[in-house]
Amino acid sequence: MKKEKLKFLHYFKDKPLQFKGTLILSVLVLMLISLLIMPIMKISDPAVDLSVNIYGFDVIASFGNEIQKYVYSIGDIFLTLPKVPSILLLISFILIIVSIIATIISTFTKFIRYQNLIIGITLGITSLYTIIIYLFLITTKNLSALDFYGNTKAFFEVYSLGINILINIVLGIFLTLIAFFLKPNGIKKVRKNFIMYLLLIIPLTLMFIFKIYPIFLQIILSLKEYVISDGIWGSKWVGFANFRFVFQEPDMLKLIGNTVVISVSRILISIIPPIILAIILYEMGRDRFRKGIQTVLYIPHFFSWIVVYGIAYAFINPEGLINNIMLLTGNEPIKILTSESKFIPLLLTTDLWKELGWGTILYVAALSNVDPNLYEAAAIDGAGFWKKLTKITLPSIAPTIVFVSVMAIGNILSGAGFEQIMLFGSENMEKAQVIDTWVYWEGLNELRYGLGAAVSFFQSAIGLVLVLLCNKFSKRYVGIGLF
Amino acid sequence: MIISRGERIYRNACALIATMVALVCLYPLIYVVFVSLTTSEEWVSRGGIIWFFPSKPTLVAYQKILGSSVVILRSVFVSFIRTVLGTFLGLAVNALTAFVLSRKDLPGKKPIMYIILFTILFSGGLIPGYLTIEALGLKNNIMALIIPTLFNGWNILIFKQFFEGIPKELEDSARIDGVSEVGLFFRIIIPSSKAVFAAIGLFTMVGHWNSWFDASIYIDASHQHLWPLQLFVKINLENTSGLNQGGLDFLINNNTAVGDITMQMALTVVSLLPMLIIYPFFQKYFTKGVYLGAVKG
Repeated sequence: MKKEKLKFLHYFKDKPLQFKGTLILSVLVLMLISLLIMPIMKISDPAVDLSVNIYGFDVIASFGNEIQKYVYSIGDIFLTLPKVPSILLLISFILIIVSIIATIISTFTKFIRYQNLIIGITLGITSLYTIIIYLFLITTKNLSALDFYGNTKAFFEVYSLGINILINIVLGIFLTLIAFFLKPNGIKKVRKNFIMYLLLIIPLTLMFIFKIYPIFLQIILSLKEYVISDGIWGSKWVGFANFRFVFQEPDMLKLIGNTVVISVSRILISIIPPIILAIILYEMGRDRFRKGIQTVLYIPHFFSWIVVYGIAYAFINPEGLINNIMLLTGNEPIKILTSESKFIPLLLTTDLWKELGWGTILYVAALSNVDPNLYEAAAIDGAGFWKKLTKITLPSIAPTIVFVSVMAIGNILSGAGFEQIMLFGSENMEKAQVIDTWVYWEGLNELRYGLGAAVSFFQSAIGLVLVLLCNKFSKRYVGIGLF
Repeated sequence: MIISRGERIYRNACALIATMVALVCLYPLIYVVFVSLTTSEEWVSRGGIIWFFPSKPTLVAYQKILGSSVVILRSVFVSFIRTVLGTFLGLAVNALTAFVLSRKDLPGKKPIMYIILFTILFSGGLIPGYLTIEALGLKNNIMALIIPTLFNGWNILIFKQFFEGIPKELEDSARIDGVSEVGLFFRIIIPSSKAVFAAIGLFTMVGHWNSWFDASIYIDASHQHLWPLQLFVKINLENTSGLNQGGLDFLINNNTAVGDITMQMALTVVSLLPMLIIYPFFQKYFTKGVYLGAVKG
């Protein structure tokens, strides 16, 4: 059944090089088609919500002519495309066509001996060229273009480039690597597992769009001073000015300080009480009863922070249980929700309530692997409660403890609990200013994208190094690692 | 094994402490339910201190929330859609990726794994993520809450680790029986990794049902009909004055049988109930799958 579906694969059974060539060829054709039929540029005026897509064939048709475009609510308009970008884009079409021809020649003629070099070099040049013109077009202020009203402006202020160019760059680099490095032996394996690669297309596309592209964007943004009217690409490059700000601004130190203080207290809260509880649960015996209790203890972990906030609200709001009791006993009511000094204790209490039971799960699992004979042998040797605890129980969960704490330290800059602080704190609370909330309140909401991106880049970079180090440490000393 | 008297006392003490902790854990939950059933009359007459089940319980709050306006039901529906779609598509995407990457002899597998690992350790952050969604035209679209969450490097790692532990002999014998490579996934892999599917499915489900922040930035107040339940609950907890966008008028100044706090607590109960209901069904898978999930944190 499978063979019939993929008959064409059978044809290539003993022709790995032809298979590789055909594969590259088909992707190249797709790339060319995507340039022609997907919007390659967009001319727009965001102020009045007006935009027109320019396709690849428009670019080809535009030489010497105005192109006619239909705009909803206005009707037909005539556009003169800027010369230089049109020529640059046209050359990239030509380069792709050249690559296609080179691929055909090197795959189906006697030049197949030099296939690696021929395809690799033409594709390499094409990709490099596309990267250069892409970067050039999105950054230069010197290229001019006419907007809808006939005013001369910088190209990037009027036009934005299509996502298909970016996709083509990624595919081009990918194909170049394949052309150079995929050996006949590898090709055979690729052919055998062809359907596996087809299965990877969707996940990898999602990964590139939602995980890799934002990282790329973050690096670009962090080197720019974002001005909304210029967009991401048009905004000025400012080098490392945003990073300099991160390191020099005294507010930043406070931010990092707050983050570390909250993170560290959370680490303590999330490690010590669960260990104690796990030992208590282990020591109590009575398996059935214990299971019931564990079931109850795990419940809060599955609630959202909103629900936890709602539950806490019942107790701490100005007319909540705590204040009503205070009133009853003749004390002054306390404003817990708006009090700066009660903010961190409030975070920790609610965190403890939500995660205490769940935190025990790793330790309970580790303890259930301990050989009960150890305890019996210890009892025979006359070991008391304390001896058993320190010589058997704790050592058996020590690797887990080390692993959990070390990984928590690795997350120290992002472990302050963004969602929780967003709910329990507010923007004008000093202690609520941690890195994550700052990026949201000052970066996203105040449109300081460059600075926000620099701060979160800094946070991610430190986090990456810390996690890698901590993982290595944990692996070496206790043998448990994340990967 | 003979248990000495001291040992027995010690065990009982442990059991007592554990029970007490469990009660402390449970009480706030029960308290919220009590408040959500209290009439305003009783609330006032007791000075706002309700320790036990109210003497004259009322369901008015729930009737109002679920009956008098379509808003809450609609947001429940939005939450439901995003949870179901997000969980099923997410499981499909990540399990298939992990299945492919767990094949041995797959050229290019290593670099892909390194890239996936990198996406786990290094994130683009809030602002670039927002700009990506905006550039894709997904703002004010329910897909903005689903599609970006589908690919999850962590889940792929967990699935992959699990799939690699499945005995190769199983696959080989299936191949002899004529099962295709992709067929292996459905015939062998899925049936032998129910626990990990259940665990990751549960976490994805909980994550979707509980999330609100993405909706708060990707869906404007002008598209309130796309807000998930949690976001509505948040707004109505924070702002009883109803000045905020999305404040439900019928929840405030109601001047009726129940007070604001009762309404708010009823809303909280409504939003936590689904998690409470599905939780027991997944419990039996906890031993295997959850250990992996708990490491992830």
